[in-house]
Amino acid sequence: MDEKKKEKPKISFRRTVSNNLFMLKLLHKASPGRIAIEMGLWSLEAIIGFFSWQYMLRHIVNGIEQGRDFYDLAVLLVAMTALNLVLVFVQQIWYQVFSGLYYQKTAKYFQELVYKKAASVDLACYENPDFYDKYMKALNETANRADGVASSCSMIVFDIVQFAANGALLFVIDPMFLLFLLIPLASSVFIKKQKKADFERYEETVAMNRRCDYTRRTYYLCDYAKEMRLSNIYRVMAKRFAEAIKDTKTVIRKYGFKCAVYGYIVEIARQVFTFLGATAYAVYQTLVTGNILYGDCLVIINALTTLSWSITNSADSLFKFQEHALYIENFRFFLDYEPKIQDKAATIPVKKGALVLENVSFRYDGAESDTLKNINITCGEKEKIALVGHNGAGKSTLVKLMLRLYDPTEGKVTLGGEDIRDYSVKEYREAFSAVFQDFHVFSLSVSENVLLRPMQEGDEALVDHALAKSGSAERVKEMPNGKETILTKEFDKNGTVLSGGETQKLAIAHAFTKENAFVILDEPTSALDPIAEFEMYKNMTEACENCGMIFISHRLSSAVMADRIYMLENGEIIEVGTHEQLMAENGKYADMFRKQAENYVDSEVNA
Amino acid sequence: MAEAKKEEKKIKAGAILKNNIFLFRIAWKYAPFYVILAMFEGVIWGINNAIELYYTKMLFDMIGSGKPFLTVLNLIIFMALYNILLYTFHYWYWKIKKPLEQKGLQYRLHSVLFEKARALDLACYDDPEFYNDFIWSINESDSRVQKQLDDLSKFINRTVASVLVTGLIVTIHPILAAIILFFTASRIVFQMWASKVDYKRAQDFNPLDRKTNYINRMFRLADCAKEIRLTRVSENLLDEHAKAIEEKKGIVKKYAATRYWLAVATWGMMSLGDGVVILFLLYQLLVTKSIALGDFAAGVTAIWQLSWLLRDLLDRIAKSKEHALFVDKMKTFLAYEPKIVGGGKIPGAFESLELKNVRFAYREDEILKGVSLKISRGDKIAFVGYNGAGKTTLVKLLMRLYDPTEGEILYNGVNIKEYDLDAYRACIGAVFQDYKIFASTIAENVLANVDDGTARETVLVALRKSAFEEKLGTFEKGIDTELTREFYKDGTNLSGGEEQKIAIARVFAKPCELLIMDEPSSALDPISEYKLNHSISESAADKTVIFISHRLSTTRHADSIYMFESGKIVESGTHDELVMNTNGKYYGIWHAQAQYYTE
Repeated sequence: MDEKKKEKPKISFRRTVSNNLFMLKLLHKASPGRIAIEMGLWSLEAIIGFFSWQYMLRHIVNGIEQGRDFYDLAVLLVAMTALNLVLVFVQQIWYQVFSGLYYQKTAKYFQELVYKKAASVDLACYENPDFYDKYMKALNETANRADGVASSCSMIVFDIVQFAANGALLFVIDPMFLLFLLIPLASSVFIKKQKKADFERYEETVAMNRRCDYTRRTYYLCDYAKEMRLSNIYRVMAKRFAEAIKDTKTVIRKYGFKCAVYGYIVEIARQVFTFLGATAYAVYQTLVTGNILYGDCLVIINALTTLSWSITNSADSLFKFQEHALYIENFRFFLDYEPKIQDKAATIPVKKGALVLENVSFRYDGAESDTLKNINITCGEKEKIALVGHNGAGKSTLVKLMLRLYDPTEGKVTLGGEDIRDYSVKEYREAFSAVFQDFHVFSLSVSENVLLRPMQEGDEALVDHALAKSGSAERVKEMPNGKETILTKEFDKNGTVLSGGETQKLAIAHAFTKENAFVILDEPTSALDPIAEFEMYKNMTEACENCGMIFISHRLSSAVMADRIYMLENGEIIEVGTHEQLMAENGKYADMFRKQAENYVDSEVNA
Repeated sequence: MAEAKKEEKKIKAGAILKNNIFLFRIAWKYAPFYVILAMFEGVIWGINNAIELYYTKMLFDMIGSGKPFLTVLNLIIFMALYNILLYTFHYWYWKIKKPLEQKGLQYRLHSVLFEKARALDLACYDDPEFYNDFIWSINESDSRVQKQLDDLSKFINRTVASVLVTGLIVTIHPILAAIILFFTASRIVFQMWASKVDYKRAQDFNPLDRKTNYINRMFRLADCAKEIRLTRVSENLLDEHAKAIEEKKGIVKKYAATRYWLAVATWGMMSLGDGVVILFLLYQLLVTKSIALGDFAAGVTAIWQLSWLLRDLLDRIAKSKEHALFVDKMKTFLAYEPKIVGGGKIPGAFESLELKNVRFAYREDEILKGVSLKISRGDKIAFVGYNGAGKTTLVKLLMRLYDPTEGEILYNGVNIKEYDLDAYRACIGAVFQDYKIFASTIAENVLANVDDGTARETVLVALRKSAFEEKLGTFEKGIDTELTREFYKDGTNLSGGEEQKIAIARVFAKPCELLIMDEPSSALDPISEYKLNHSISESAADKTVIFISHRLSTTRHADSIYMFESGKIVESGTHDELVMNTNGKYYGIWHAQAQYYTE
């Protein structure tokens, strides 16, 4: 939290303008004409509002004083009312019909822009909290921000027109009145200070509110329910809740006086000095010098109220633009981001052959040491290899390098003898099917979850085949709409939710939907019980008859059948060979295997 | 999902009132001073509306009748002083007192609700509807009470102001009041009609919004970043997105015509009303000469005020309906009577635990179908079987998180229902598969209690037993190290395996005889698992332990093993006895797991 405050975004005036213009340009592309129409409508409203209110009142009251006839004055009043009615008819066509459609159009344009970009951003960015933060904001905020910029533009146009019209009227009556406007202008210094104090107070309480929220979660969320009942940990949480509240109160007190006084000054400046001061002056001019008429006096009071509000509002709008600019900054940063992993200018078609890692080292951005050091791995066209080792040995990173989710810091990965960076990223990844521990089920139909691409003609049979092969055909048949059933409960309360094991089978089904050069299994069996685990390996091996297979596990029983085992420790390969060779070597692998097997082996002998 | 249900619920006017009073009472109970101030604020701003209007009338009456300047100036100065006073209170309340009072309310209210939440039966959490509607929603009860109070304050303000302003208008001209009320009322009718249409439209939008939000999440979250990159599933999502937007446009079009005419009627009525009122005032001023200039000026301002006030009053009433719906949830929550309550007996030192034909069903599904077994002091017991066989449920019954549907559980020969609940639970140390680490120090996490400095040795011993000692050595602050980053940004995040060791240490720190270990080493790699299992066996040598696992290597040294299948014990005995039966279920999984380890 503190960090965020330090880099509390400051942004130059030029950048503020440029960012807002950037957004306007995109808005124009997303829904041409929208901004012009909205600004036009708001100016029209400001002008008609001015004439039918200030100008007309002045005309009427002055007319009364000058002894004009009722009918004379009534004509103007009727005309103005009619004009207002016409405005309503016109305005609402936009607000009730077109603006809703334009809103959707804008949302679509911006979301798609962002989504397409999001899919191309390097996976490494997700591990960079700073980038991720910006990225989240860009994704969450964009469409709303675009609308925000549009409405801020309209508001400021409205305020300017209103200001100009009322200012002109005051100027015509008595230029002295404009002097009273200097007061709200001067007090905007305090508006800024007040905003700052409010903001700082808010910023400081954010962290504490998070703490309160956390303790509340422990009491109300299901995840914590058992521990909260079975132990006294609830006392710790209650204590922490009380502390967080106390700290928040301290912060409120710390800033309270500042926040109150600045706000008070601004308010008094407006209410007392501008408003009542000008009234006194107007009354003086009416009653003592007789320079202005009753109507003028009434209008002045109204106009001053309007003017002081339009000054405050314009100031607010300008702050708004600054706020927009900050968010747009994130958005632009995100759009301008050049993925490191992308196609070269010229790519070559993906070749068949062995997947080879040659002297590969890898270091995460900002890390102090290499996660992987000088790795050499070969997986032949139809070979089965296993990567084993403790948690944190670098196995999962290795897989990400193979799939080109990262590029190595040193060394290279080749497929069929060519550096994989020479292939098209998309085509290269197409050659793989990967099953991860954290396979994600999408809220799409079963078929789409299996294919993981839009359905095409002839896909039905392919899906059936894949479901059968992965052993989930029967389960799918039981579902309400067969393979068209929508999974998860995101959209439908009665949607089908799969168990851990079923999910894994679905992930495996995907591997059967295409021609793979290689299948990668990244610890996929942790959610399975022993029989299911066994079945799954059997199926996978069957599926991979004609392709290479790379599997990763810390449970060694599954490594036994591999053509070659790579044992990793601290980012290095320390042993390579078949199970028999490694056992004979009697190194770390053998040690690990024996420890794991200890309880099984001797008894198996007994039995 | 919760929203979809909310609208179906209609609520009667009487209930709305009753429920709002209920909320008000809560506010009064936990923050009386806040309530008084909020009401006061509402009243003074209501009066203020009338004062300003009356001021306008007086000002122009004075000008119109040519009063001396100094008299008028006195009026203006009086107004200035009044404003200074008014805003002094306002800013003190708004910027200093109110935020403090809100925090106080939050604290006192939640302290009560926390206790209530903890007393709920765990079964309440299994019912997603009860959970979403009545437990999780209670989380927002303080902001609800605050909002209701704010709305009430505004409601009072608008009511006081409307009455006073209407009174003033009547004194100007009774017919004027009738005209204003007619236009305002007809406007309100159109507006209510429009908001009904808007509501229906929002309903239509609801599922589509959920869909677009979901798609947004898919692109945003790290969870599916890999799938998005490695497959073409992003095309499916973009297709769905485009479809949803088209449907939304269809909805906009569907309601456009109705919505247009209603808006025209609403705003048209307003413009027309303004025109008619000014015309009427002008007529009275010039033709019948029954009102003065001040009346004219005040009347013009009053129409604006009144139509705004009445509209806002309506909004407040709509809001109070929302509050009332929330109160229903809160009442259900508060009225919940826990089914699992303790008796008066205090359990003695552990001798035996016996299950007699225990059955248990979650709604229709019977999870346990008659389980009987007996555990005596010093036994090492293992429950094995596939996922979903009922092992974990059994543990929850032993801990009295649920009560059996049939049969009974006896602790030292006495039904566990007869013991005091907390005292009974204190006799058993259990570590669950889905343990949680709390944002607190290591010491407090291990003690599962406030660290008052008296049990530090216990914590260290427990951590040694759970094989966490090595890791602990790397922490500068030792057992005072803050876990997770929820509270402090330099807090320590542990890995899954390390967290599990902390959870296990909890059991060792608890002074109890009977330990239950539900899949204690599932997050660990083989070496750590091996070490931990040894450590547990050593430390628990003199205790009674129930091990639960689907990995049989962990449990094979148990004194007796109970094999579970679909809620029943299908086989039991020692490991050696069980593997003798090569047709048995136990032998089946044993073989499946062991085959790859045999060289």
